[in-house]
Amino acid sequence: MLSKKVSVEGARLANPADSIWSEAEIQMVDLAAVPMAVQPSVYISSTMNEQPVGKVKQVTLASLHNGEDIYFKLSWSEPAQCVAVCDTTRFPDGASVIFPLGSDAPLATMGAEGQAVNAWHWRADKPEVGVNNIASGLGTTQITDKDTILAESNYDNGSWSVVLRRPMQTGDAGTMKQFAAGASTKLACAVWSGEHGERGGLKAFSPDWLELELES
Amino acid sequence: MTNNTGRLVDGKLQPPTRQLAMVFDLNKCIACNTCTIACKTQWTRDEGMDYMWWTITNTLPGKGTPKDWEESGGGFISGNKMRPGHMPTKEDFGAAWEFNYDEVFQGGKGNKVHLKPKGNPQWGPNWDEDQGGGEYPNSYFFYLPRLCNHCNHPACVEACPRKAIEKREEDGVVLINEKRCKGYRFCMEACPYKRIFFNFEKDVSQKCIFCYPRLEQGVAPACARQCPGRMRHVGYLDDENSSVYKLVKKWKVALPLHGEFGTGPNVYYIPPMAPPRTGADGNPDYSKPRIPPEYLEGLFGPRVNEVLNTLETEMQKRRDGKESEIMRTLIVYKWPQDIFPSFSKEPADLVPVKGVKK
Repeated sequence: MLSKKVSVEGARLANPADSIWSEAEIQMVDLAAVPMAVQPSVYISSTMNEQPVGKVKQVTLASLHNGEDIYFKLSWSEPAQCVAVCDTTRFPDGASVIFPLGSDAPLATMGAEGQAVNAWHWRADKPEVGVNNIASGLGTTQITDKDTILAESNYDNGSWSVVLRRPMQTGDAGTMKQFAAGASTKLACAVWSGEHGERGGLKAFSPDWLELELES
Repeated sequence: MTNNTGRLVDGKLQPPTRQLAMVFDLNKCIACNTCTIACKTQWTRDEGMDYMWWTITNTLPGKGTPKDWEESGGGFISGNKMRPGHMPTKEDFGAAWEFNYDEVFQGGKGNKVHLKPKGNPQWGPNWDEDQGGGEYPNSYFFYLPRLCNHCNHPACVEACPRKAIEKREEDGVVLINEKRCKGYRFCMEACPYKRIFFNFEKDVSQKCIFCYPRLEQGVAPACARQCPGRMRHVGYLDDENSSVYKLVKKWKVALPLHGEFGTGPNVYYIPPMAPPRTGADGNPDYSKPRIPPEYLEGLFGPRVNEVLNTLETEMQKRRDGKESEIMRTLIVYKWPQDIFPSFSKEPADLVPVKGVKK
């Protein structure tokens, strides 16, 4: 997949409904449910084996950059939108894009010791930000309190479209993926359906790293 | 380093070095809820905590707080096989009501309008207070103070996929690390006692912390210290001089609540006695107890009636002018040293800890 370089103002790129996104290469990414057996919770693995999770089966992924900021757009069908956490039983819709920080970071376990992954996490109840996380194994995701990821989203006709954006270089390669035009990286994505109680490891994810090339 | 305390590792439960416990003497609880307010004032006044009652005293029989918690599942079936649990809702807990203060105090209607909750709440904490069970003249009820049980095998610890909940090695206190918690609420489903609350403002789960900042300075938890009935004993289960040890281990008159939930709770109860039934002729009827034994067995397990008999025997000793160490312990003549011997320092001497409110 190619992240094309475009010369348009950031406000347009940040808008998931802007026509500039019709110029982007898109990739349809099939998602799978995280298996219950690998969930790092005795409660989840022993009580939820039959629970259907990973409700979102496919996400449309696209990326653009302008040499300074990089933008990722995720679109998926979600018939029952879930935004506000208005009761204990309500969970927000969400999505994330994941990048390896270590060159051999395994995706299936969300990284490993010494091979961290960087996840940008967007939630429908806090729609204007993406939260920067690092993880070195299942259940180890940690927010880094460096809010340089901005988000815009819209929900229309039973589908979410979310654009996450961040400066390509942030100067902190230990906790944030650094991007450079002309270089390539791997990425993956995950989606949570709040309506189905999805949160944490109860989610749909792309089982394999995808290749992303940044146009120079 | 991973703290495995309170977890089942290779089929073996990893115990803490020491375990703190509480014993509540239900025969002395008058449901004044001073404990409830002491806790509220100390810990749950911040944003998002208005509906939380980390400790609360309910009436039994009753639906409790949250509503119908006893039928909500969770806990362990055996080993690490867990039981699916219900997620208690805001309504089950009972929302923090808004009152018409403005109308009554500032609106010039103070003589016409009563102070009342806004809206039309249909449930709240202690909604069924003092209703109890049975038929007059043989109706019955008793009070049940509840809080996090700081279990030997906490369902919440095994439920959290982020290892955000830990059982402390030094005293067995179970704490949620709010920096690790992401508000997934699996703990709330898994806890069979439903003593975990979700903070909607901070997006984390919160619960009783056994007043650990007080413990660390030798001061008893607020609920125990403030109890006017002297019915909340606190101590280490291995401290042979503590009333907790004597009541739980030595005399075995303090019983866990719903032990069948499989978590090994560390809050124990002296089961409630009751006056005799009233017979058809209006005289005392001693043929069967006022509180149905099967009801108490359902709460405190099969030994409850044996314990009640022990308590009756010990009370009779006192009536006969004889000594009873059990009764002496339950009465608590010397307070606070006899009820929480390791934690009898004055709350006024507490030194604020950075990041923790006094």
